[in-house]
Amino acid sequence: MHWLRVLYVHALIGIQSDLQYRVNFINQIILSFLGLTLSLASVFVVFRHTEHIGGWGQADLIMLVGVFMLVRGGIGLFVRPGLQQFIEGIQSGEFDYVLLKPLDAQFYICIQYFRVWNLVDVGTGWGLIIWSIWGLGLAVTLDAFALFLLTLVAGFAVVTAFWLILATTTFWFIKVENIFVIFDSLFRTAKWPTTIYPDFMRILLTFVIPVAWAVTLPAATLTDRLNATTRWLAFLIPVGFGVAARLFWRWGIKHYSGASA
Amino acid sequence: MRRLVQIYAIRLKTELMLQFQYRGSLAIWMLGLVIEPVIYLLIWSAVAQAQGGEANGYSAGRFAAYFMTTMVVTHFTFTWIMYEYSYRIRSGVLAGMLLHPLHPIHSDVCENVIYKILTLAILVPVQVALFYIFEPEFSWELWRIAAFFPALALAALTRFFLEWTLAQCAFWFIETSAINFSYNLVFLFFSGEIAPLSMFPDWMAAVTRYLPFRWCLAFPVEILLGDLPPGAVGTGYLFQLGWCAVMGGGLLLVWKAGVRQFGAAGA
Repeated sequence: MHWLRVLYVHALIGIQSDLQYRVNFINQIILSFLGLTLSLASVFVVFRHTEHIGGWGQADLIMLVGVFMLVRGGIGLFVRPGLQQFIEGIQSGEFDYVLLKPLDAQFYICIQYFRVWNLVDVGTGWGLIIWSIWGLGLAVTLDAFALFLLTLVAGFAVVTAFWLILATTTFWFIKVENIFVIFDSLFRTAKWPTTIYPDFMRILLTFVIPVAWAVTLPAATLTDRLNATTRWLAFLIPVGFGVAARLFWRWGIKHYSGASA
Repeated sequence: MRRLVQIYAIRLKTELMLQFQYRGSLAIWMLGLVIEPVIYLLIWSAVAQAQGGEANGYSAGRFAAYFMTTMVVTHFTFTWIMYEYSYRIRSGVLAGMLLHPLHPIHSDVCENVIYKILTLAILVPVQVALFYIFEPEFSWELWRIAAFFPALALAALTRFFLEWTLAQCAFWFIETSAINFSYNLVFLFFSGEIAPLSMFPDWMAAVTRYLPFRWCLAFPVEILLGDLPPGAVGTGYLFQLGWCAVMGGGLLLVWKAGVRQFGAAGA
């Protein structure tokens, strides 16, 4: 409960500080819309030449683009900016003060900064999902939708854990931009269903770099493509990555000697 | 002229020693360059498979050849100046550069050339691996290989001029990440990076002829793959030369206006 209150307060502070820069909001809407147009356009170009790829149809893919934007927006809301501040804080020594706070440092760095503009991406993502269901007649049952929400949470957890593991490497290698380059390069694989990848890559993208899997999973749930094994994985992988992120963090903290002292 | 050659020789040498220290970073920056074309390769192979082996005249092997070549062309043509320029202006680095008796573009050229050469150590093994995994179908005609290199050089020059010109928007806007983001998306779409342009609707493919992006990427690829008859290669060169001249002229004009309006931050 205490944690939730801290999260709430940080969100409020973030909203207040971001609302000072209103032009950013319009900026973000335009960029989000442009990104959306080109994502959809590339889907349309592909589907001029085929009815399905890797077992997914056009409406399925539009929905997948929606889930992609939803996850990207959600991560951009607090995890990504918070971890950016953490990485910069290690360089500047500000992170030492975070360690002194009476709150779990790993939790704190995830929520310390809230970027409200990313709600535009979240909204656009939901818009696409709703459009693919009502506008394009994607058949979705109520059960599937409930499971979709669950796997969406699982997907967020996986991407967050993956981000945390990447960010934790900062204790050893302090170069900020590189971690962003790594994440952004890998996250591009998530725009398309993992079924298009050959087996060895799919295994890599599920168990080692599960960012693509984290987006495909909720989308596959919504359209009822999940088989029994993947249903198990849907809950094992987030737990596994969460535990790994935690252990790695502890190890990193032990190594950390502080920048200011 | 001789002085410039000497300057280049020294700058290239320093740049080599400078960048060689950051081998890890060099490898990381290559990640995106390698991943992007491989994703599109896989998507279009899946399309070819779904269509029983061929989509719009392209087999999976042809798609593999197309996207492997876009990876090479992108490698030799891309720049990162648009991301650096606003930092240079805000931090005052540019103010210092302006004091040098040499246009700052020369050090950017050297930086770019050395980066491209050093990262060949990653690109070559990646290409060899892709060759074995995806079995691309190239048409190894000698004149096409010969025609590829001038087109590649012109593409690199045009893109360098284009992006250096756009980077100078930072003189007026300071915060340019929105411009960079939009430019990237437009380039991705109209350059042929996401699909061979013949996969687009006809009107869109026609539009790309009159935009600079195709001449920075798809054109050399199309030459090498055998998509273009000799006549089209000739007119393509003319288009490239035209865009190269336009962008080079634009660069000079914008530079003049920009420097005049520059108020030197930092100091």
